[in-house]
Amino acid sequence: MKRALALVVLAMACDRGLPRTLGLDEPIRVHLAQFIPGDLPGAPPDAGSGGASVTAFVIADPIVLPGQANKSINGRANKDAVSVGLRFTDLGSGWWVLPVGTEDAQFPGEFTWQAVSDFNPLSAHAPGNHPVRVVAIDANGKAGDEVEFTLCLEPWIPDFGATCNPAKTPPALVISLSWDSPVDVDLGVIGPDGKLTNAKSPTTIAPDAGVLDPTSGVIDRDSLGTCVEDSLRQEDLVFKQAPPTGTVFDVYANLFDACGQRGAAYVATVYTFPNGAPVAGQSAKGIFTSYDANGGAGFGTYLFSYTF
Amino acid sequence: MNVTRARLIGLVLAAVSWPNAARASDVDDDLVVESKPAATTKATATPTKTDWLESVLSPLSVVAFMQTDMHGSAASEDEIQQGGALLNEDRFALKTARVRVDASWTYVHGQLEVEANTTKGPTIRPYHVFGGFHVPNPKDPNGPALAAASLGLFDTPFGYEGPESPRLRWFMDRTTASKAFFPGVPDLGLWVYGALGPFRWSFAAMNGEPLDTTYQGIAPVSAKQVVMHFGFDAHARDDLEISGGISSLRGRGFHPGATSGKNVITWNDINEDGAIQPAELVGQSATASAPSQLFDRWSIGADIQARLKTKLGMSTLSAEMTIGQNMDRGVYIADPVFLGLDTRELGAYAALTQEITKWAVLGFRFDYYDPNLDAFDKRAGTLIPSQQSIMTFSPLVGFVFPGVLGHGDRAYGKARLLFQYDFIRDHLARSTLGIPADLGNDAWTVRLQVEL
Repeated sequence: MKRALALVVLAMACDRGLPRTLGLDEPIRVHLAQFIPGDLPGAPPDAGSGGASVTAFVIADPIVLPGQANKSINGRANKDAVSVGLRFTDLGSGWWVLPVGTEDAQFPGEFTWQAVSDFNPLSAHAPGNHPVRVVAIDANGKAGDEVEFTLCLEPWIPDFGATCNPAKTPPALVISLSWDSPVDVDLGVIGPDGKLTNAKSPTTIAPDAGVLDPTSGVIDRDSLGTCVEDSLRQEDLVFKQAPPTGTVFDVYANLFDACGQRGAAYVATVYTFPNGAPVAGQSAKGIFTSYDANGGAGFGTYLFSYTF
Repeated sequence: MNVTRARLIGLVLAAVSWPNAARASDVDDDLVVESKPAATTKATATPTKTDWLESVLSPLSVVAFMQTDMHGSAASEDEIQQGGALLNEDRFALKTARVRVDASWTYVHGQLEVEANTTKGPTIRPYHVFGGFHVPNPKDPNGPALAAASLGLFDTPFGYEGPESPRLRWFMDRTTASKAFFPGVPDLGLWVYGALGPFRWSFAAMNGEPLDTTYQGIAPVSAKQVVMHFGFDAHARDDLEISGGISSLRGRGFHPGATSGKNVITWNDINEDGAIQPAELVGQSATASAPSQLFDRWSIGADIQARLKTKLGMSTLSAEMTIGQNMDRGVYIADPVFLGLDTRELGAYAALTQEITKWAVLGFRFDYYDPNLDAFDKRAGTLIPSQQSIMTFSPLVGFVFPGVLGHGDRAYGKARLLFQYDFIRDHLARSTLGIPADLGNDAWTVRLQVEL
């Protein structure tokens, strides 16, 4: 009886359990993996600690789009490994662990692992290269040498890949409209010729014989079009090259569909790239209520005018 | 138990004396219908308005109570799950508020109970709605009926814990196994039951979709779920009552088919560059409807309770064990059509409560549920037997404000203030070795229950 009571007390008191977290606050989330707060275990890369080790890793594209989902990080580990952990070295508060998979038929004695990962959209506010480390763990819980590679987080504001590849040229200007609720808001601008540019008509200058004028602004997406959540809630008008000096664009925000919500707060900002990185300039904020939804019947709310 | 009844009359007429009609039940005062003497009327030469109202209302009784909770969980997160479900579990909640009206004449009975709660947002719904006929026991007109039949919405008569009224239960909620097998206990059906001496018997044919399941209140399957229960309720001594029973259930589950689809184009970002390449566009032809499929489910269980009245107060020991196949409808929902194999479940609990005079109560419950006795886990590409069991250790302490009689002569209190901590040990997380491990999801609840 005393033994049973002691077991009950031990079971109740000794184990607090691992944290349940979806990891939505973390820069990376790995499917079917457990989040563990703290530093990644293991020795620094090439420390030669032996034991379990990651023998290979494969990434289809090291560039991570803002909020990208289902990005695969694959690899192999040696026969001593039972699990693999990984984390951003300089971002986040913990690491993810997942069991190794089957033995690789092409590499006998090595076991595959696959970290299908989602990336926090907010991580795009820390754009640039970030080191990721992976470590294999053996059946005794001992971690081997860490293996490091780099992922580049693209910025929230589209930059034609200039952040991750300095050889690329950033756009001349971006007018960005973002909002906070799952509603269908459209960015609209009216140019000097009176043409309304929005998600339905996404260029400020109509293509000529299929060729787009490099000074034409292009809206990158119809965020939450037909109320389908994309987790971005942002539309950008991107000018690859600046239009002639003095050209004026009137900027509008329009609530196309409230999508059953009460409304949304929004902010529109103009970004320039004087040194290759986006710098915020002119800006305006506002709030839509569901009564503002017009299905595209009007221009929406006038925000400001931008003059090149 | 004595039934509170002055509420309804009080609304209609301030000065009506109301004869008490004792009702006793081995499980739940809510459901089991007992014969009841016909209403008494005053022998006056000229009936008054008071007499008329009394004669109309005397077969009726009203019970109402509410439970409000303050709840906390180590697993709570201020996030939403995919699909929009909130993950915050640290909150105040109206667990349940119920108003029940019973009517019982010599051979006819009925019950209407409505529940309100905020578990998944404010909800008001029918909870027990049934009527029927019964044959009173001539030797014990106030006791359980010899035989009765009810048609409507009533608790699935399986085991002890499921039909036990939350008004009487000390612990905050049913065990994990009970919530898995019966996410909600009430279901629509026909119930035939009765009592002979200490023995109890019950048969029910039900839709098989109790409340809080996917198809609650409706029946996707024409085959009925058959539930049987045989039990006893014996007063071994004046201070000792023993009850128990065995239960069985057999029914059919429903795996819905798919409706037909249209032609669609799918983009699969193979190289993960966020740009469409022609090779990444895949056309999918329209798909035909897929038929629905049925599967068998069954469960058997046994339960026992012992109540000992001491100078300190009532001691209650109860235990129950249930095994089932494809029975989980609420926690790890069993679908052998999708999985390709049947899922066997095992649930058990043992609980001890000690009432301390009429003012307090202490309790402890151990609850075990294994949603899949044949669970496997994949490690290094090899399937090996694994555990998915959930154990919950639940100490409880409470203060009772006396005033309402419960089962027999036990006082359940005009109000209760209860605290329960749930130490939950499961296999929902993964350790650094990648194997199933305990998730930190201990929970606690403070509950105020008030009789209205």
